[in-house]
Amino acid sequence: MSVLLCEDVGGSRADDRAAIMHRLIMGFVCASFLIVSGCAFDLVHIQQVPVAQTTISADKPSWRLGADISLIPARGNKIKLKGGTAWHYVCTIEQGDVYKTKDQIVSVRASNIYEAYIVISSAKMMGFYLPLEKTFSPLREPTPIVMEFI
Amino acid sequence: MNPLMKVSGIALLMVLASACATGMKYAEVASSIKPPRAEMGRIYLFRTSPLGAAVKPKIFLDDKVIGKAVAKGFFYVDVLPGTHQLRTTTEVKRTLSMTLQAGEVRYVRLKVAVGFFVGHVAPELVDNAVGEREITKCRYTGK
Repeated sequence: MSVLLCEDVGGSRADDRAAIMHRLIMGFVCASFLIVSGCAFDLVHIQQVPVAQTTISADKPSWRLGADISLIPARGNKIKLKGGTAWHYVCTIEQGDVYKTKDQIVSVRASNIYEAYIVISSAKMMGFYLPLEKTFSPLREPTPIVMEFI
Repeated sequence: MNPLMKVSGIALLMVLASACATGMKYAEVASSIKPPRAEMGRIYLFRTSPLGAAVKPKIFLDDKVIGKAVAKGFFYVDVLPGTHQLRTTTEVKRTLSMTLQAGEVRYVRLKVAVGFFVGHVAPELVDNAVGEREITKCRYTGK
C-alpha cells in the first residue's frame, strides 16, 4: 500500500514538471510570435524628409565623378559611387541640386530598397532624392566630392 | 541507410524539384521575346536561387499582382514610364521603389534570405549586364 502511494506521488510530481515545461514552451512560442509579428525584420527604416517643391534650372552642366566615394546615410547601408560615372541634372530641391546617372544603380537600402538620385550643394553630397516617395534622405554628414564638368 | 530515410530524402528532393520553375529556358524563349513598344518600358524579374523553393510569394507592381517569385524562374512586364513600386510579402513585406523610362529595360533580382519561419524574398535592382547574365539560368514562368 505504502509503495503504491509513493508511486502515485512520484507520478504527480512528473506530471507537474511536464505541465510547467509545457507552459514554459508555450510562453516562449507566444513571446517569439509576438516579437516577430510586432517588429522583427523591419527594424531599419531610412530617414526621409518630404520635399515640398522642386524647381528646374536651365544652366546646370553634367559632370563626372573624379574618384570612388563611400557614403554613409543617416540610416541604412553604406553606398558606393563609382569614379568616372556621368551625372546629369534633374531638378533642384531645398537641400541642393538633384543629379542622376545611367552608369550605375544608386539605391538607398535598409529593410526596403529605394532607387535614388544624389543631391549636391557647394560640391558636397548632401543626401539622396527618392523620386517615387518625393522625399530627401540625408547623409550622416555632408561629404565633399570631386566634380569634373563635362 | 534506413529505407525510411531514403524514401524521405527522395520525397524531399521531388518536392524541391517540383517547386522550381518548369517552363522553357531563357535561351529557348529569348528570340521570341519582342522588344517593348516605344512608349513602354520593360522590367524583367528573375529568381536564380533554389533556396526556399517552396516559398513562391506573389509579386505586386503598384499594388497589382503581376506574377509569382518562382525559384529558377523569370518573367517580364511592360509598363508605362515613371516611378513604380514592386512588393513581395512572406512573413515580412519587402519593397523596391524604382524608375523606368520609355524604351528602357531593367532587371530586378528576387533575392532570397533566411527568415524566422519562412524565407524572405526581396526585389532588388541589378545592373543590366548582371541581369542579362543571371537570367540565362532561369526558366520562363510568364503567360
